[in-house]
Amino acid sequence: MLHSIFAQTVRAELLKNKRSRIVWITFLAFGLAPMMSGLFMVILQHPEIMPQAGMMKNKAAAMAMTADWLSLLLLLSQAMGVGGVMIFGFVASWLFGREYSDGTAKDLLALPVPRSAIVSAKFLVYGAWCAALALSNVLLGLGIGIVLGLPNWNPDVVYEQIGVYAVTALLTMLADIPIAVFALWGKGYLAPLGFVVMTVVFSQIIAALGFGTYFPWAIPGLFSGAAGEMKAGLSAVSYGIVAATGLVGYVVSVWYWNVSDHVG
Amino acid sequence: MSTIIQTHNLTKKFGTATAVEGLSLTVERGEIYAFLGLNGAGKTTTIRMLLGMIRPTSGSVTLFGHDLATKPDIWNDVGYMVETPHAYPDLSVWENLEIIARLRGIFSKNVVNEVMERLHLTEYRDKQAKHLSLGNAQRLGLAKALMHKPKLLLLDEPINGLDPAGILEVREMLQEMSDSGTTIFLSSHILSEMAKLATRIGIIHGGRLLKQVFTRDLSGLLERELLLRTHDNHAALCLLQEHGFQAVLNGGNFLHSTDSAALARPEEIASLCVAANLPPQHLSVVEEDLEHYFLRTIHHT
Repeated sequence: MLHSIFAQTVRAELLKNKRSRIVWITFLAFGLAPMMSGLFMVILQHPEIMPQAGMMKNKAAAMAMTADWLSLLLLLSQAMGVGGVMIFGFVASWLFGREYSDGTAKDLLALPVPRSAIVSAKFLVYGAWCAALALSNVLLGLGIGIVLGLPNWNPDVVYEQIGVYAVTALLTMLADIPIAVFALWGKGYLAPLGFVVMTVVFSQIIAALGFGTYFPWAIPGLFSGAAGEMKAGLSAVSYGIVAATGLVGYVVSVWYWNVSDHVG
Repeated sequence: MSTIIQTHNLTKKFGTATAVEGLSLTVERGEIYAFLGLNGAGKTTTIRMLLGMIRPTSGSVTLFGHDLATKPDIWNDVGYMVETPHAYPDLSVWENLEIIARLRGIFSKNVVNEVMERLHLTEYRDKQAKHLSLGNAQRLGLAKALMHKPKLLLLDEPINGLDPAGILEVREMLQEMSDSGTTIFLSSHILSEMAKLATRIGIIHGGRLLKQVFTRDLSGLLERELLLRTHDNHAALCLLQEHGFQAVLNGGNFLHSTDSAALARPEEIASLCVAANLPPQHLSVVEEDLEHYFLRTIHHT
């Protein structure tokens, strides 16, 4: 019975996004990452055809990259570790904040379905949405790699790098769960989006100070290899911090939705 | 009769501001209870406390004899609409209703079709909610509240935005539901409409329940006044006073009398005036409307 109610709640949650332009905006925005990665590969393959792309050429050289599958997949993981925090944060802000901006939160509060089921259904959709974003980017990246005819296709390396990409996506997804709390507390998008921007800024500062391995929103980026050798500093504690961040975010979201005064 | 809503000493404070104070009321099965109050009087806060959306600072609420926290399936029997009804703007009328039906665990095409038909929304089935008129958005809000045939309806300003035909339809529908045993608790600022619909009226002001009155007893509480105009109001005033009727000339064109004898026998006053060659150009007994009664009640506190 409870299973059936939860299934209905998830279906209702999916239906809410049926005609939402935000869904496509997130896919388009996140899709820029593999396209930029592909552009990097083109510059590395043909440095002579883009003399004006000096900055990108210099950046590519600084990253000591070559135009091959390993580099492309590394770039995808790094885009996930850094850009993913923003895009996934945007998804969480939308899923939870929209109920207030649409004025529909009050319709979800006095129903036979437990309030915790509604929050859990939202997190399930959040997870599915993020997973779909991650999948679409890796597929797009692979497609771009094939079109560009990148060399050095080594199944072991490719699978390993896709594994790094998947773990980076999972860490990013977990780290962004608390953003829901800010949407519920701030009753809209502004507070969570502000928090997302803060996490990105603080990730840079804290990682630069050498404490990034303890900051949940910097850890996915470090794991992706975006900060080079700093990845080696990650330990079980770092992964535990991300898992705890996700868990605390979920528990506080459910608790807050259950006990706070819903006046808006 | 069985008690459907009971509050005891219900109080809600937001910081230092008291929104509702010591509210105790009881609503019985089949009643239509209208909650009247100015903006900020505490109506919506009370409705939100009845729905468990706001936790009381003190006091208690029971619906159907149960504490809200101890019986979550109580909401199977409750339909509600709080403040302006909203819907997911990009979704159609049908899709918005499907969401609520699924969350209530009652989704079937019949349920949604039936409630759309009842609220005259069928022709707007595929229209996005953001393109609905105010009146149809209100109907959609009511459809969400009514689709599961609740035993208790809590409605905040249910006829806002409806045209006169819509108001009549909603009034008849609520009346019909009440006749079949549904209890209805509603707030409104359209007082005259509430007088036609409600079986009991509660007046709330400054968070306190000032008065509860059955609408069948209302006419006995409304003040009445006799108005008289002749070609010489001063002479008419003297005439009435000579015959023992209390009246005043308030500077306007009319003599005013709240004398119970005058109110009981206006035809006698007409005869007196005619006999004294002061034939009435206007003679009427007017009854205070609900708006005046409401304002008089809250100003006397």
